[in-house]
Amino acid sequence: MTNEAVLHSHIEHAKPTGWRRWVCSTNHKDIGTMYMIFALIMLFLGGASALVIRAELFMPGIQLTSPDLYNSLVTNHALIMVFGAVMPAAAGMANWMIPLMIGAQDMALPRMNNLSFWFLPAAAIMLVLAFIVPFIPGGGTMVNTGWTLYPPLSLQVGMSMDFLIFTVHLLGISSILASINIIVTILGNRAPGMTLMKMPIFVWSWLVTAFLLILIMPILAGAVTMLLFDRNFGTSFFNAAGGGDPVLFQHLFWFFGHPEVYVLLLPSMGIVGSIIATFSRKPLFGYRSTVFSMMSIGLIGMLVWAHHQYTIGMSLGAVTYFMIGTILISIPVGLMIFNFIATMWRGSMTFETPMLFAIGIILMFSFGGFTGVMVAVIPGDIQYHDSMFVVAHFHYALIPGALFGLLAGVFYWIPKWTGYMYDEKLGKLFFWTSIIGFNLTFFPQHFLGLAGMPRRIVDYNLIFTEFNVISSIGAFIYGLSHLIFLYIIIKTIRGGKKADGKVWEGAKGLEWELSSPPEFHSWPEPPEIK
Amino acid sequence: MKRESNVKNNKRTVIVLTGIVIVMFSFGFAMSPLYTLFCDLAGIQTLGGNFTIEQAEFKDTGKQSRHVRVKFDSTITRGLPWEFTPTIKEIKVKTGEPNNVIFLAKNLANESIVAQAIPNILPWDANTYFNKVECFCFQKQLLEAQESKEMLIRFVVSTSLPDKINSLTLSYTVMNADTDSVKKYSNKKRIEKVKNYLTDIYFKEIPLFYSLDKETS
Amino acid sequence: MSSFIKLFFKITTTLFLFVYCINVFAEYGLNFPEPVTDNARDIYDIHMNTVRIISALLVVVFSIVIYSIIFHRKSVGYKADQEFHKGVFGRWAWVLVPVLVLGVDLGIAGKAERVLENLWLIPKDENMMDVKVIGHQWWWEYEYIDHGVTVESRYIPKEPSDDLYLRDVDNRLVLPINTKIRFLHTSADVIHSFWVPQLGMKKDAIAGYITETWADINKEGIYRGQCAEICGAWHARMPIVIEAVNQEKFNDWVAQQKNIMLAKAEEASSDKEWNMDELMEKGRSVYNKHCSACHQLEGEGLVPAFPALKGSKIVNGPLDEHIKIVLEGKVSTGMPAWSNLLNELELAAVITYERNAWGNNTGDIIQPSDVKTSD
Repeated sequence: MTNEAVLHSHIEHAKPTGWRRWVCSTNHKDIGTMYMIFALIMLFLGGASALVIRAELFMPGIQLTSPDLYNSLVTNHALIMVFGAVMPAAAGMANWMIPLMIGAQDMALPRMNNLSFWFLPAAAIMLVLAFIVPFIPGGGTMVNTGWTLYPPLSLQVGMSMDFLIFTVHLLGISSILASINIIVTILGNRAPGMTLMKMPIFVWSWLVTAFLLILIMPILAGAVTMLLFDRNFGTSFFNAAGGGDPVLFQHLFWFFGHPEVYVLLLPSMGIVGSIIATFSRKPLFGYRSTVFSMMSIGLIGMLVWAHHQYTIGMSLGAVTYFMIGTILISIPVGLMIFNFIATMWRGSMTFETPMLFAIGIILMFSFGGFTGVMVAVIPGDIQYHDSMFVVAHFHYALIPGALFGLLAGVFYWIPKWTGYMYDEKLGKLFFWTSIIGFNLTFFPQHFLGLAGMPRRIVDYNLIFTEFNVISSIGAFIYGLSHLIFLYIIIKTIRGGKKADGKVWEGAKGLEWELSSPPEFHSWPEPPEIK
Repeated sequence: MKRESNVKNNKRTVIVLTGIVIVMFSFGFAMSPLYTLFCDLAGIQTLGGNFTIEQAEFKDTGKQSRHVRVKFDSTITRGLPWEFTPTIKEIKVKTGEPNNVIFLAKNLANESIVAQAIPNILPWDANTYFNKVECFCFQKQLLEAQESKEMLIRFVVSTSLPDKINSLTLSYTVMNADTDSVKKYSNKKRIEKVKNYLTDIYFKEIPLFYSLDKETS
Repeated sequence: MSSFIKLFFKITTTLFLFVYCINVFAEYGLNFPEPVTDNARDIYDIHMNTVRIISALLVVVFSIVIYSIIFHRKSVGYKADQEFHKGVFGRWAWVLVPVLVLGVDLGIAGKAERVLENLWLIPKDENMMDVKVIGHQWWWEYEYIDHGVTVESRYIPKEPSDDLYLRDVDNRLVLPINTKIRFLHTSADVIHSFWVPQLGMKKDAIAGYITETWADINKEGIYRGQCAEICGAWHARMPIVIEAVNQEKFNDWVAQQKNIMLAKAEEASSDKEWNMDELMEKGRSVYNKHCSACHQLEGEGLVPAFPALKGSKIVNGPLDEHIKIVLEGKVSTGMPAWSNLLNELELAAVITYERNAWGNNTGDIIQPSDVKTSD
C-alpha cells in the first residue's frame, strides 16, 4: 500500500471510544500510555517488596518475614523492577516518541504493537499466581533463588517456579515482538530526508536496544524452558546426576543477563542525551561518537557475560579474557558520559526537573560505573562478589542509569503527552527527596559489602547494624517520595497550565512541532526535514 | 509488473527463511559433537575418555616416563544413602602405565538405588592427560538393598603430562540418579541435624509471618 | 585567570589530596577486615589502587560538572557556545577520551593480572595439606583428607543481640599457620560459596564439580566468614569459622578429633547392658539435640504439625510400635527414619527417655540390642 492509500483509509474511520479504544488499540500513543501506566503500577509493587526487605533488614533478628518469604521478595523485587517497571516504561516511551521523532504515522506493525502490550498484564497475572501458589496447600516452596534462578536450587522450588517460567516466556515474547516493531519502524518508516545520522539520539538508543533484545531474550527463554523440562519432564540439562551441568544455566542466564543491563541502560541514556541538549540550549556534543558508543556498548556487552561468574572456578585464561573485556566497556560508556558533559559545557543551562534528573544521573551513574570497574577487576571481585558491595554497585548503575532516566523522560515529555505542564515545585521536591533517599539507601551498602556482609541474607550480625539502619531509613524516604511522583502525574493529567507545542525553550526535533497533545493521528503527512 | 516481482521476492524470502530454520535445527543436533569438541579444546571436564590401553600408550610421544602422585577422593551428595570410599588414598604411578584402583560402594538403604559417579581431575589442565580405560563412572550403577560392591577404575596417566604437574587428584561426586529417590532420602539423611523445624517441612508450606525468637530459648 | 577559577582549582586540588589520603587512613574502619594471608593482602592492595584511581577520576568529573552548573547557566547570562564542537577539543575529544580511558584501564588490568595469577595458580608444592570443603543445606563439612578427620560445622543458635550471632559454629575449621593449604570445594546439594574475607578466599561450591583454591595463613587467630551464594531458606545461617593455630596445636587437635571419632564408634558397637540413669541421661541429650526442634523440650509438640510425645498413645503404648516409628519414620511427614542417622545406643537411649520423661511413666528400659537394625 502506498502512503496515500494508508492515509485515506485512516482518515475515513472514526476515532475509537470506550473499552475498545484501549483493548483493541492500534495507536502508538494509546499503547505507549498503557505501557507506562502498567509500568507505574509495577514500580509500586516492586518498590513495596523492596520496602519489606529493608524493613526486615532494619535490625538484626528475623522480625517480619520467614526466610523463604524474604528470599522470594528479593527475587520478585528484581523481576518486577527489571521486567515489569523499567522495560515496559522504556517501551512505552519508545512507542510514544519514536513515530513522533522520525515523522512516521504510527509504528510499522500497529496490531502487533497492541499484542506486545497485552502480553504484559497476562504476564503480571502469572507473576501474581507464582507468588500466591505457595500459600495454597500442595503448592510447595516459594521461589527463593534470587532473580538469577540458579539450579540446582531452582529445581527444588515448588510449583511457583513453573508459573514464574511461564511469566518469563510471556515477557520475553512481548519484548521480542516490540523490538521487531521498533526496528522495522525505525528502518522503514522514517520521513523522507531523515537519514539515520539525523535521527534523535533517543531513537538510536532504541535501535541498538531492540537488536540486543532480539538477540538475548530467546536465550533466556531457552534457559528457563530447559529448567522447566528438568523440573517436570525428567531431563537433565542442569542436573549433574543425569550428566548435566548447573553451570550451563549460569552461562545461558548471564549471556542474556549482561546485555540485559545495557537494554535497561541505553534508552535512558538516549533520554538523558535529549534532555541535556534541550536544557543546555546546545546540540548534543559528539552525536556520531555517541551513536558509535551505543553500538559498541551493545556489541562488547554481548561478549563479557561471565564477569558475573568469577568465583565458579573457570580457568585463568577464561577469567582473564572476561576481566579485560569488561574493563574495556568503560571506554564507550566513558565517551558517552563525556559527550553529555561536553554538551553541558559552555551551554546556557536552566534547571527544570528533567535537567535536575539528567545532571543527577551523570554524577551518580558515573559513580556506579566506577564501582563497576572495581568489581570488574578479579582480585577485588573475590571479596565483592555476592556481597552488599555488588548490590550497591548495581543500584547505583540501574537507578540513576535506568530509572531516573525514565523519570526524567516522564517530566520532559508529559507536557507533550497531556498538554499540561506538571507542577515544577513538586517536581523539584520529588527530585531532591529521591536523590537524598536513594543515596542514603545505597551508599552505606558499599561499606557493608567491604566489611563482609553477603547479599540475599534475611538476617545479619550486630557489626553490620549501623549501616543497615541508615540504609533502611533512606529506603523508606526514597520509596515514599514516589507518592509525590504519583500525585504529580495524577495532578498533571487532570489539568494545569497549558503547554504549547514546543514546551521547552531549547527543544529541537520533530516531536516539538506537533501540538501538545498531538492529534490522534500524529503525522498524517510526512513532515519536511530541514 | 510490481505484483510479479513481489511474488518473486516473497518466494525468495520464504526460501531463505526456511533455509535458516533448517540450518538452525540441524545446528541443534550438531551441538552434541560440537560440545564434546569444545570441551576437549578448552580442557573442560567430561565423563568420557574411553581409551583402550593400546590407544592410551599410543598417545604418548617420546617423553620419559616419570612418577606422579595420584590421590583419590569421593563426595556423596544429598539424597544418596550410600557409603563410597577409595580403598587406597594415594598411589605413586608411573606415567604411561595402566593402574587399577578399587572404590568400595555400599548401599545403606532397604531398597535398590541407582547412582551416577561424576569424575573430576584436579588440576583441571591435567584432564586431557588422565586416560580412563575402564571406569564405573561410564554408566549408572545399581546396588541392591544393603549390598556392597567393589568398583573398578583402570587408568593411564599420559607421559605427555606437563612437567610442572606432579600430583593429581581424582575425585568422584556420587549422586542418586533417580529424582524421586533423592526426595525420599533427602529429608531423612542430613536435614534434621540442623536444629530447626522449618527444614523438616521444607517441602511443605511455610507460614507467612512468624517470630523465631522462641527457638533460641 | 579570574580569582574564581584560581579558587576553584585550589578547592579541587585539596579535595583530590584529601580523598587520596583518607584512603590510607580509612584502612580498616570502612574497609576490608585485616588480611591474614599474602593473597588477601594483594587483593587489598589492588582494591586500594583501584579506589585511588577511581576517586581521582570522580573528583575530576564532579568538579567539571559542578563548575559547569555554576558558570554555564542562563540565569547568570551565559550565552551558549554553539561553535564548541568546532574547536580543537571538540574535534579530537572522540579520540582523546577513549585513549585516556584505555590507558587507565590497562593500568588497572596490568596490576590486577599479576595478582590474579598468584591467586588462581595453585602452588605445586609436594606437601600441601588438602582440606575438602563441602557445602550442605545449611552447614559446612570439612574433610581433612590427609588426616582422615571430618568435621561438621553448624550454626549455633544465639540471640540477635549476641556478638557472635550468625558468626559462630559448633565445630571450627582448625588450620595450621604458615602452611600452604589446598582447599577442594564441592557441594552435596545446591550451590553454596565459601567466603572468608580475611583469607581473601571465595569459591563457589557446586555439586558435581571440584574446584581448588589455596591459602597460607600468616597469623594465628579466629577468622569468620559466611556462605555467599543463596542456597535456600537458611542461607543466612551458614557461618564459617576458621581457627588458625601453630603446627603443634594443630597436630594435637587432629589427634583429639581422631579419638573422638573412635570413641563414638566404640560406644555404639559395645554390647554392655545400660541402666536407666545412663540411658535417661544419654537419651535426654539425644532428644534435646535431635528431637526437641519439632517435639519441643517438654514433649508438648507443635500441634498439628508435630505431635505431642507427652501423654502420647504411641509413646505410652506397645514398645514395637514406638520403636518402629522412630526407626522408620513416617512417610509424608517430617518424621525421618532415625535408623539412618543415630547409632543403636542413641536410638535406645532416646526411646527410653521418651517413655520415662514428662510424666510418661512406662518404666521401660530399652537396650541397644533391642533396636538392632539389620545393618
